Amino acid sequence: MAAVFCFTNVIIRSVCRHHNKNFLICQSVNNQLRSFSNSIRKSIVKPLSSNGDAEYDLVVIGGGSGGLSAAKEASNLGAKVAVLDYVTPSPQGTKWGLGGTCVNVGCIPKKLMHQAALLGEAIEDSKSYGWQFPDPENIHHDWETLKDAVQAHIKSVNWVTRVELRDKKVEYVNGLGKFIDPYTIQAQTKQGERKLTSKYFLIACGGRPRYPDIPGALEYGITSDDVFSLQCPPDIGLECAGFLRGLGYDATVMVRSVPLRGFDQQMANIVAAEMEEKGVKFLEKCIPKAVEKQPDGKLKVSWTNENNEEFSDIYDNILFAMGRRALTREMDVAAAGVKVAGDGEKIDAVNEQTNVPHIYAVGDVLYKKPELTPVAIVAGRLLARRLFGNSSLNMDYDNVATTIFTPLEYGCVGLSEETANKRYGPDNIEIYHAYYKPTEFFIPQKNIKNCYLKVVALREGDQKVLGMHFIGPQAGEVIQGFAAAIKCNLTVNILMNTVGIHPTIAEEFTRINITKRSGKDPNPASCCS
Amino acid sequence: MVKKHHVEGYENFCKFIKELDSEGQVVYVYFCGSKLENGESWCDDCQRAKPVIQKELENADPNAHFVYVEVGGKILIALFRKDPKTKLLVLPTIIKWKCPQRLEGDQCEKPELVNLLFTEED
Repeated sequence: MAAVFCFTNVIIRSVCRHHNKNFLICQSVNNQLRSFSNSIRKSIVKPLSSNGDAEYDLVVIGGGSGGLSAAKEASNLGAKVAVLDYVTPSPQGTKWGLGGTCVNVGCIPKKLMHQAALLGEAIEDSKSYGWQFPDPENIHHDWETLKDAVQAHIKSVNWVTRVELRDKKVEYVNGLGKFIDPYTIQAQTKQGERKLTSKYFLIACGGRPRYPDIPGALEYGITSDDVFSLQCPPDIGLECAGFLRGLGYDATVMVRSVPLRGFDQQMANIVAAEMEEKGVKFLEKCIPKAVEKQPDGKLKVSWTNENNEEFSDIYDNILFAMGRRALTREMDVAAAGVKVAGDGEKIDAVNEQTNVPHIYAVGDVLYKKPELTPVAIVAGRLLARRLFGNSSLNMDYDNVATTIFTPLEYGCVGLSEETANKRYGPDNIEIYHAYYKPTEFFIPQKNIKNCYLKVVALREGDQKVLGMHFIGPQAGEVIQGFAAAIKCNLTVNILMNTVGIHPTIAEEFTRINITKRSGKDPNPASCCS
Repeated sequence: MVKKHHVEGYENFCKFIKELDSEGQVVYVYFCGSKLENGESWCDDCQRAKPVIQKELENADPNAHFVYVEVGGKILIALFRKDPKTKLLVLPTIIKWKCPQRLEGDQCEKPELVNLLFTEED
């Protein structure tokens, strides 16, 4: 018994077993790492005359990270603000409260479930450190306890968000917003329809998971919308697959092209290799064709491989992690004259401004911008300051660090090796790399084979650092500080002259000395020299 | 009209809340410093919150319960703090029993926030 997941970008965290069901935990990685060159443009904040009688200064459509951040900052600066938020239930009927993807069905529940999986690993490790368990074979994970704890945390965050908005005098409208004209939004609420007029609008509707167009997908498939609140443990994307595996469920990840498309592919392959070693199965270059329910309630999934050969297998759950689509059509941005980008859904904004000067957009709805919560938060806050606080500071979308919470985490900032080579030419790029051995791994004899890091730099002079990549425990914590260093024009020279903290894993970045070009062995000789 | 109850101390509270028949009804629990001889709480913040809560209670669901808890001295406060059901960190605190909704400290004296707590539907 097993489950299958179809992902374009996924992290498989784990497979778990619960009530004799096997689950695949995968995480979809929507946060494609891309780098963007920021062309310098002046911020265009145009005062409006045509809607001087508007009821609000700013109406935000979407109460997620970006929308809430802009709303709160605008209100702090004295603007009259309303936020519309409404969650259309998923095809499986899952819905949630105020706060958007990150809080409800994204970063937060994912990180908590990742932690649950890591704790399971820690229990294993602790035995070799001398901890004794009376009945080691009876240690098992209870999905329901985890799910309830995660959902309780989410609900308390929903509440705190409500309180914060009320305290800051931001009006919250629990309704589905839709443009009627460039200056009016119509909200469908429980109490009926309501029209809101505003001087400025902010489109912050985010996105929802995509489904493949195959029979049975909508009826029987689940997505990240559903997985964190499933009554029974799930099958799920790479991160999901990873934590499910870590909780003991059986997981299979089906990938259309390659895992973690858009990320540095050497690093992505190491992440996938580590997951495979932990028991997650991968079906690469496969395309799902149909999902059928069997008489016993299990799901028969059929797919084809790259040679067009057909296969099928039986799973308990199927989770789609195929990225997200922006909800611009649902809110009828066309009625406001807002143009969508070439993909037909996202908005290509310049400094968050759409083609309609008084209508802005932040967050996952933006075309070719990182789909990351902190990006949306900063962009929203800076936008509010430009609109209402006489600021001229624009959002810098370059060098944003991110982390994939696979069992062994992958954190990175800046350019991938491929992008750097393409942009500067391989002759002008130096890649430093190293395998390393976390001290804590020795005693439990954990697999160190995939603990690897890489620094992408310019070849000439002091070697300006363009990108840093790290696979290992706590990768997010490791990479965050280096992101600040890169913003300060970090060079390889400076990095090598930085004294490390011993014994840590972050110090490994200060010990780099082997270039790929040299062909030397990047495996460490000893620990303390 | 909201059904009001009054208890003092940790043990009394635990016994009361266990025995309270509130099936299907909302229960609000308000924790504040015990009253002095003059009838006012020793805690200034609780004194300021009192009139706000009293007024906003009029907007609450008439079937709801309102439990006024005088927490007592330091030792008793520590018991309320350690109990995962109350997790009392600040006085005053008002919570919706067995729900994530809670207001702490000066939030309890802001009419708009107390109103949100008493009128919000899940």
